Amino acid sequence: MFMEQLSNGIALGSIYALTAIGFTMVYGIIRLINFAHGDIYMIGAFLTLTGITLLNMHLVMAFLFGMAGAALFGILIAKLAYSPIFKAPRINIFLSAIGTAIFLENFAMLIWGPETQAFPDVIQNNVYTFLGFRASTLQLVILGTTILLVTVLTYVVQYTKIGRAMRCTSQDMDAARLMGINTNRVVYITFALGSSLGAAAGALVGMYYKAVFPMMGFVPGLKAFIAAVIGGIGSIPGAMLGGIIMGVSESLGAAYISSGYRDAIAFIILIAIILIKPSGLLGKAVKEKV
Amino acid sequence: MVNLFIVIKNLTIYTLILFLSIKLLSKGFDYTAKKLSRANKHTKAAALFISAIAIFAWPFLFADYPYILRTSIIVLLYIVLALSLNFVLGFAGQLSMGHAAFYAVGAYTTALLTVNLKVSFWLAFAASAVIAGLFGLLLGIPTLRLKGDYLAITTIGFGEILRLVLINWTSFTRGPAGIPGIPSPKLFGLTINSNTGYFYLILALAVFTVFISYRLLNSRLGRGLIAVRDDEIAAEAMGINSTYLKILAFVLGAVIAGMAGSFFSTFVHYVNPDNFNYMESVVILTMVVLGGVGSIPGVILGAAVLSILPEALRDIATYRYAIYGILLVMMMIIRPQGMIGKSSFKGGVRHENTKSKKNHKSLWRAVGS
Amino acid sequence: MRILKAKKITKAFGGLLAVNNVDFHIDSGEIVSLIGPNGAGKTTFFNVITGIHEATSGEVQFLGKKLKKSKPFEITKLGIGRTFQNIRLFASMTVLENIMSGQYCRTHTDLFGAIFATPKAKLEEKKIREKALELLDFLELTDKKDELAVSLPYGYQRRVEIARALATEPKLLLLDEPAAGMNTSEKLDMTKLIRKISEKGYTTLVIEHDMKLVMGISNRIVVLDYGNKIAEGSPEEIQKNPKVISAYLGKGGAQ
Ligand SMILES: Nc1ncnc2c1ncn2[C@@H]1O[C@H](COP(=O)(O)OP(=O)(O)OP(=O)(O)O)[C@@H](O)[C@H]1O
Ligand SMILES: [Mg+2]
Repeated sequence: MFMEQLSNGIALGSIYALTAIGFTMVYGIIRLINFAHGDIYMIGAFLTLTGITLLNMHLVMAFLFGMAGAALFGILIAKLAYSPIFKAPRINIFLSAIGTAIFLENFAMLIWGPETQAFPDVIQNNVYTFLGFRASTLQLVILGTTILLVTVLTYVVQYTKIGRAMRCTSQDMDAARLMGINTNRVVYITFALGSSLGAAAGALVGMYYKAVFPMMGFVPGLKAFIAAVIGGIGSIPGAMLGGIIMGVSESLGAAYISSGYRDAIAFIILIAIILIKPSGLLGKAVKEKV
Repeated sequence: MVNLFIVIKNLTIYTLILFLSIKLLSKGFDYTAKKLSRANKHTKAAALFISAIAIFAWPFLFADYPYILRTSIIVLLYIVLALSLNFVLGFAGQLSMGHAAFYAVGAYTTALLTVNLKVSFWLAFAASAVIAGLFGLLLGIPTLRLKGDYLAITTIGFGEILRLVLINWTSFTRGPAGIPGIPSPKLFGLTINSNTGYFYLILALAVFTVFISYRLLNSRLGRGLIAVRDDEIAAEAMGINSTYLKILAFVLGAVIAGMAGSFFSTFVHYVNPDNFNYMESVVILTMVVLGGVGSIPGVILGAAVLSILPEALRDIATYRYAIYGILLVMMMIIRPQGMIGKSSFKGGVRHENTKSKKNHKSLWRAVGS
Repeated sequence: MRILKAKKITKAFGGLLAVNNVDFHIDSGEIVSLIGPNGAGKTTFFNVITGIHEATSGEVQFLGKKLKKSKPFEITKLGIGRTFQNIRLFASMTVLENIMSGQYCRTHTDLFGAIFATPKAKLEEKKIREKALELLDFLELTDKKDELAVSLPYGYQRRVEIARALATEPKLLLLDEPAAGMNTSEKLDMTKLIRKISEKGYTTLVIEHDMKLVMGISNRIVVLDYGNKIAEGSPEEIQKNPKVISAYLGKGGAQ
């Protein structure tokens, strides 16, 4: 039972991690909690599903289609909802993000309908046991995909030109611009990358639970935010760590405490972290200069 | 795919209509505000007097139209709710997104007390206010350390936890089935069960809320709150205890929302956890933002418009929340101060001041500049 | 009488010693200026005194009381009023309201009094208004009282900030670069204003870069450089002090 819950938690945790990385990247660059990120995750799941059922794509193709579509959504959101008010107080941008989130949820409802849609069985699911560990094919696929995507992302951020530009911009946007970095482009690319990772997470969840529905992104979005906060918002390894911690504690909590309160566990962790160490496990404290 | 095109076409049309109405209405409101701030005392008093009479006579004017009367009751209920959020968001500047939780606490307190313990409504009403206030205190404490978006997400968390408790603690709350059979209030031996009776009940609560909003705003405490909202560091440097005031705003907002919840449960005679979900908090928030954060007439207008709109837009009910989303984004882009901004009755031209520039230093200034 | 005494104040931001081991005092009725090149730690010193930053080490005594761990609002209530280098007026308030808000810590109306407008609350509100109008008159701002404070030109905003600080009824007034960004004639007005405030009996500590203003008003000048106090004395002494001259000239002069 414990081992089963643990592998369940790790699978769930890798999904949170993928979503949290998107959150954290956007926050790192523009200090905005992209509230609509959870809904990008949902859009990604729906697009992947549409790719499989309506467009008869191969699973991998559909997956990439979902990621690309979500990236496009991410860019559009940044362009339409955030960039016009970038000089406004933070609270305004955040409200705009909330508006975007509500819009996306209901947009999905209008297009794909409010009902939960079944995700077809695309992967044959077997259960493997290894040194007491029990894991299903799906769980291994989720873990594998996560590791692959995070490796690609780390490579992009650490070793490519655009990755360097991103790291510069996140430290000091004004300075980065003075150094000749096209910060606009960096911002949009960050949105695109973050959104596509979120979409991958959404599609994986759709496969895992075999269900896709318009509100599916709301709670995971909040949880991914919490995962990002646990690890220290703005830090990519922190988001990974936070995601895994969240997934495992949620699975174990649901199994041993109460499954009805499984979503509450995340919020209790959040409140505890924020009260005890607001900068997160791997984050640095920032204070306003007077 | 056909569906996709229809949806996009409709959304485009609604967005355009929304855009034009916001532009036009804002012009109208600015003009009226200017006129009003210039109008003399007598004109103002006369206008106020006439509207007061109209509101009091309302149930008699529409006695034969129960639909209109019921909608009016809902409008007043949301005015109370939006004003209660305004204490927190508008006065203290704290973005609370779990406001429906206090509303729920009030509603459930009244439901449980009147149904299980047969307590009189009035006693239950007072208890709802007090218990919701205690929850406000509980939620106010984390705000000491949190700001803006962090606070928003934490308050969403509180709201969700409360909703999960309502769903899961079935022995106490009957879970998702909810609590039916909440009795009507009795006053001097008469049972208030007509729409007219409920109208006056919620009207009294609304008048009370508007009254304390104004009294508070124009007092020492109100100025302290606004100072905290505008600039917490400067407020502290002026000897203002921001911690105390923020908690005060949370408690006050919670108390009023609890009262609204109490009214709701006796009016509908039935509560269940779905009445108080996240979307309910968002609706209340949208009302405040649409009308004008911190502006009492604005919030009243915002609540009225957004509670009448869904009735008027019955035919496109499925588009309702999508339109709310667009509305929020669009308001932030074209009129962030709301329809009737909080400073629209004050003199002088707005400049960008040095402080606000500095505070946004960390933002994405590249875009659009 | 010694109003404020600061002993061995140090404030570090990470590895940076913004204020390093500074001793400071000010007596009742004095005008003292705190000068030094950009980044010398002057504002940080203000922030330590007013409780916005906690000193890394050292202690501040105000009217014989230690300020260790006091919150900014408590310190203001004890009697230290201040202005900010980058003006921080309340953006949604008129000039009058801004100044009235300064009276918060000298008044007592509670929620009950506010909502039911008790006679006591009404009387207090009247007093707050009178006091604010008096200050407006003193700072020659009366005709601007109903305008949004942030809509005024820069020079006026500085005056509103001073009025707001005076409304807290301080025993010690801290002004952070009150003449920054002003032209020569406005600077002259500011010099006169600071004198006028001092004549009213307020003890004043001023941070300022304009040497003419500093030399014209100060009883005593304290010079900071890289967080260290490098000199202290009368305007004449400071003008001749070689350390001060090299600190400024070394940076190309701050005048
Ligand atoms: N909150 C803070 N966090 C980190 N470093 C800070 C902070 N506040 C000030 N500093 C640093 O401390 C040093 C002193 O700054 P301070 O603002 O006190 O200088 P100042 O003498 O007021 O200069 P100016 O004349 O430019 O106003 C500077 O190097 C500044 O960058
Ligand atoms: Mg300074």
